[in-house]
Amino acid sequence: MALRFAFLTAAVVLFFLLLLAYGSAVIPLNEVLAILGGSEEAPNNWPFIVTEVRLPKAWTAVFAGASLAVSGLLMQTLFRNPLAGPYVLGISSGASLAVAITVLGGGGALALTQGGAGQVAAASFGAGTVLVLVVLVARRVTNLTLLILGVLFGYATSALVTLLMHFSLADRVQAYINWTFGSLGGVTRSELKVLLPVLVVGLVLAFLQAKSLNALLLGEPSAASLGVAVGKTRLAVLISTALLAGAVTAFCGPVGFLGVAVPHLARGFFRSGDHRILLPGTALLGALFALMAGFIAEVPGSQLSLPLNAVTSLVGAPIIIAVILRRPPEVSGVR
Amino acid sequence: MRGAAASALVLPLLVLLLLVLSACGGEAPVPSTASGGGSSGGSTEDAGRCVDVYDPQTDYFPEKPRPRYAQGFQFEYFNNYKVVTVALPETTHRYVLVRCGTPTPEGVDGTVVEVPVERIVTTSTTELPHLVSLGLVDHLVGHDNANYVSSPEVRQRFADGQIREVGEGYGFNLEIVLELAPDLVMAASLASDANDTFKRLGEAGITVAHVPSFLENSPLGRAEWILLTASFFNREADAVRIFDEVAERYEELAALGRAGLEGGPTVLATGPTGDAWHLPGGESYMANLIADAGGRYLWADEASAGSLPMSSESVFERALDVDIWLHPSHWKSLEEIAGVDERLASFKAFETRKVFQNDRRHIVPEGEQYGANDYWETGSARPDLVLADFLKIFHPRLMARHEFYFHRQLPAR
Repeated sequence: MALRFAFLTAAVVLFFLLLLAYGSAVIPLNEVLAILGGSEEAPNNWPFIVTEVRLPKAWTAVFAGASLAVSGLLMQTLFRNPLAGPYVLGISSGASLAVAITVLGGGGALALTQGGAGQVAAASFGAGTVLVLVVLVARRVTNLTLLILGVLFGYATSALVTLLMHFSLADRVQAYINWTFGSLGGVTRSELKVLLPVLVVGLVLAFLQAKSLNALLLGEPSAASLGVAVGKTRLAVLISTALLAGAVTAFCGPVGFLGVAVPHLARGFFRSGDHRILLPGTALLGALFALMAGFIAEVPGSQLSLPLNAVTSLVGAPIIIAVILRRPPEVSGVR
Repeated sequence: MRGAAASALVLPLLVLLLLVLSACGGEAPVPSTASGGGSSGGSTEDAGRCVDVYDPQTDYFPEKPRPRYAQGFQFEYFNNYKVVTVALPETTHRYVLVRCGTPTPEGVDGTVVEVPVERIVTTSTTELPHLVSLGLVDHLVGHDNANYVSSPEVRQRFADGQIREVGEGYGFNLEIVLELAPDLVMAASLASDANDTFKRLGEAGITVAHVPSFLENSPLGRAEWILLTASFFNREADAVRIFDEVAERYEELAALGRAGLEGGPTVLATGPTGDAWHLPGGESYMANLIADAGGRYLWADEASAGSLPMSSESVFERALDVDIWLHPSHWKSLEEIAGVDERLASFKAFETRKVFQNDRRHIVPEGEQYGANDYWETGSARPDLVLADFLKIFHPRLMARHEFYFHRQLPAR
C-alpha cells in the first residue's frame, strides 16, 4: 500500500513539473528550472509565463482535482450510489445559474466582465446559496429525497439558463459556454490565495470523517448501531462537499467527469473500500488526473488549448471503463 | 443703419441654418446623403414604381456597377432584369431582380424578386446605414431589435410604430414577419439553423435575400455591400456615388497609414474569454484595418481570415510588450480589466494606458441590457471613419485634428 502511495505521489510530482515545463510557448527545460530558481533573465516573456501562467495552473490542477475527486467519493458513499458526484447536490447548478444571470442577463458591471472576478463572485454566491438550502433541507428529508431534489433542481436551473441564453447576444452566450467548458488556467496567483485555504478546510473536514464513512457504507441504521453520530457525519460530509465543489466551480467552472470517475479509479487502484486509504488515495489520483488533463488540454507545442471538460471525459472514460470492467465486485465499495 | 439691421437679422438666420445643417449631418457624417424621400426616384427616367408600357428594347437599368472590393456578390445586367449572385461559404444564391411591370424572363435560374421592392425587413444593423444614406428608411417595416439600433431616424420610426421588432432569440419571429408581409427579408446570418423559417417564408411568397457582408475581409469590400442593398431599390447610381466617396477617403487615409507601417506600433486586438483568446486572423477584417492604419498586428503572419483560438500563454509570449491594445472585450476601464485577471495588467499597453475601446458611440439607455453600439452599425458602412480612429491611435501626430469617432482611450477607473 505504501508503495502505491509513493508511486502516485511521484506521478503527481512528475506531472506537476511537466505542466510547468511544457505549454504553448516552447521554453527549454534549463530555462524553466532557472526561472523557478528565481532568474528573470529569460527572453520572450518566459519568466512571466512560468510564474504567472503555468505555476498557478499547476497548483490549481492539484487542489481542484483532489477536491472534486474527494467530494465525489463523499457523495458516492453518503448516497451509496456509484453515479453520484460532487454536483449531485445541485452545487454546480446553483453556480451555473448565478453565472448565467450575471453573464447573460444581469446588466451592470458584473455582466460586462467576462471571466475573472465577476464570475467567481457569482458562482460562489450560487454555490453558497445551494449549500445553505441543502443543509436546511437535509435535516428533514432522507438521503434519497435529497438526491432527487438535487437532480430536479438541476433541471429547473438548466431550464432557466436556456431561457436566458435564448434572449442573449451571441458573444455573451459564447462567454457563458466558455465558462461551462471548465478551465484550470483562469486562476491567478491572488485568486489562489483565496481558493487554496477554502479547499484545504474542505479536505481536512472530509478526512476527519474517514472512520464514520466506513460505517456509513453499511447503511445509516447499521452505522448508528456502531456508535457513529450519523446526523453529524452527514452534515460534515455535506458541508465539506459544498465547500470543495462550490469553490472549484467558482474558480474553474463546472469541471465534469473527474468527481464521478476518480473514486472508482481509486477503489480499483488500491483494491480497497476503506476510507482511511481511499480518501488520501482519491485525493492523489484526482490531483494526478487533473494535472494530466491540464497537460493534454494545453496541447504542448501548439498555440491552442482545448476545453478542459472535453479532455477529462475523452481521456478519462476509457481508463475508467477498463478499471471498472477488471475490478472484482467485492471491493466495489458501492452496490 | 438699415444695413446693420439687416445683417443683425441675417446673421442669426445663418447661424440657425448652419446649426440645422450640422445637426442633420452631425450624428453620422454621411457623405452627401441622397435626395430625401426615396419611395419614388431612382436612376431610371420613369418615376413610378412599375413600368406602365413595357418596351423590350429599353434598357431599364442604365447604371451597371461592378463591385471593386467585395468578393461576395456580383451583378449581371439585362434589359429588364438583373441577376444578383451572392456567395455563401457553402452555397451560392441567385436572385433575379425583375423591373416591376415587365415580364419575368424564362429559363433564368434564381429567386425572382420584383424591383424596386416596397417593404423590407432587415435582421442586422449593418443594413441600416445603407438604408439611411440612400434615404430608404421609410421602406423598412421590420427589424431585428430596436435596442441594438443606433440610427436616430430608425429608432424614431420604431418609437412611432412604423417599424416592428421581428427578432427572437437567434432568428426572428415567423408570425410577425408573415403578418408584415414584406417584399423582401434581408438576412445577414448564415442561418443554417433558421433555414426552416426561411423555407416557410418562401412558401408564403416572401423572398429572403442573404446579405452576409460580414464575411468580407476587406473593410471597403464590406462597405461596398451598399450596392447590393441598393440594387433591390434600383438605386445603384446613388449607392455608387456614396460608396466611391467612402472609398476615396479610405484610400487616402490608408496611403498615409501604409507609409507609416514600418515604424508603426505593435498591436493586440480583442480580449480573452476566461482563459482562452480568439484573436482575429492575419487576413481578417480587423488585421486589414490595422495594417491600413500603419499598425503592426502581432498575428499578421497567421494566414487565416477567421479567428485564431489561442491559449493565454501564447498570447503572453508574443504580446506582453505590445504597444497598443484594441477592443479588449466589453471592459470599460483599466481597473475593471485588472480586476478580472491581474495578469492582463502586465501588458505594456496596459501600463502605458494605450488601451482603446470602440464604445465611444455605445449607448446603453436606462433599463436596457446591452444598448446599441454604432461601431457595429455605421462602422461597417464607414470604414474610413474607423480607419481615421485607428490612425489617430497608432500615429497620433498624423491625425492631431481628427476627433475620435467610435473609439476612446480607456480611463484608469
